[in-house]
Amino acid sequence: MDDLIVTTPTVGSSFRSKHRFMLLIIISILISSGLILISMALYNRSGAAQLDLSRPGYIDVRAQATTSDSDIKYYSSTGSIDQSSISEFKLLFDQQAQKVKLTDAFGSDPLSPEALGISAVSEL
Amino acid sequence: MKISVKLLIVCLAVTCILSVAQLKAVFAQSTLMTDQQIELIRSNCMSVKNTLNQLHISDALLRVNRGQIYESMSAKLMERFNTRIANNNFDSNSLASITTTYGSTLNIFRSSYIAYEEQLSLSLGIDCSKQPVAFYDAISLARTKRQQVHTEVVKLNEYIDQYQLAVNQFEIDFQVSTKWTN
Repeated sequence: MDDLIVTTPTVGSSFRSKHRFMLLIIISILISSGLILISMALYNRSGAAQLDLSRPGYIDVRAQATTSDSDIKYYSSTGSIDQSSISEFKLLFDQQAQKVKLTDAFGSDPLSPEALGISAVSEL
Repeated sequence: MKISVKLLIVCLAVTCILSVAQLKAVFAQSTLMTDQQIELIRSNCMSVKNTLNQLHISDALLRVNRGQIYESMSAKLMERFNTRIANNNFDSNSLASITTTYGSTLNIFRSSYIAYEEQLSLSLGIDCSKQPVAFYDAISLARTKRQQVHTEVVKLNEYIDQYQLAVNQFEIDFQVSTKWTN
């Protein structure tokens, strides 16, 4: 006669079966929290945070941001090279070069003690 | 025993030299602030913070707009012109070389701006009424990092000039070569 294998439910498995739904929710929350942390770290480290003008405090300047660079035309990478194609490129490039040189970006010194009104500091 | 005493003296001398060098470096970086100067930062704390906040916002806008132009110039114009020249079997090495250097400088510009923005945010996080010295040091560091961003902007502008000159040279070479073939 074959021996019957009788399995008795353990305390652990009964807890798991009783709170299965709760465990599912907790694990889901933990996984999503982990994913949020990873995405926030990527957001901050990639430089996206520095370019994100949708952050609070940037509402006033958001409208001034160039939302599309459609004013810079694509130069065709195919086709023959002749005088007109070179002239066309030079025209497009010179327009953008002039735009870039119009202002000396980050050239001023607004963080100097004089500009901030805290200049009475002598360095060693 | 004699050797160990000599060794000890040498070690002490090296330690003293290193300590003096370290102290020199620390003093060169630190700032000497009087009570009156600290009080000036405390009294102007709010106005300085407002100025920094405005700068933080305007620089972010500047970075977005300027970065967009720089990237477009590379992707929409320079790289495409280089490809077209290469496809037509002309020598594009000098133009390609400038484009590559421009691209790597653009990457440095991006990372420099991130470093500057982080430092400025850090400065804004310091309570200047309670920690005026730390606040001043943080602003000084932000200033240095902003100057680094400007250095990269100047370099990018120089590469744009170089590219223009290279295109002009290419045009001259092209005209000469077409004259010969005709």
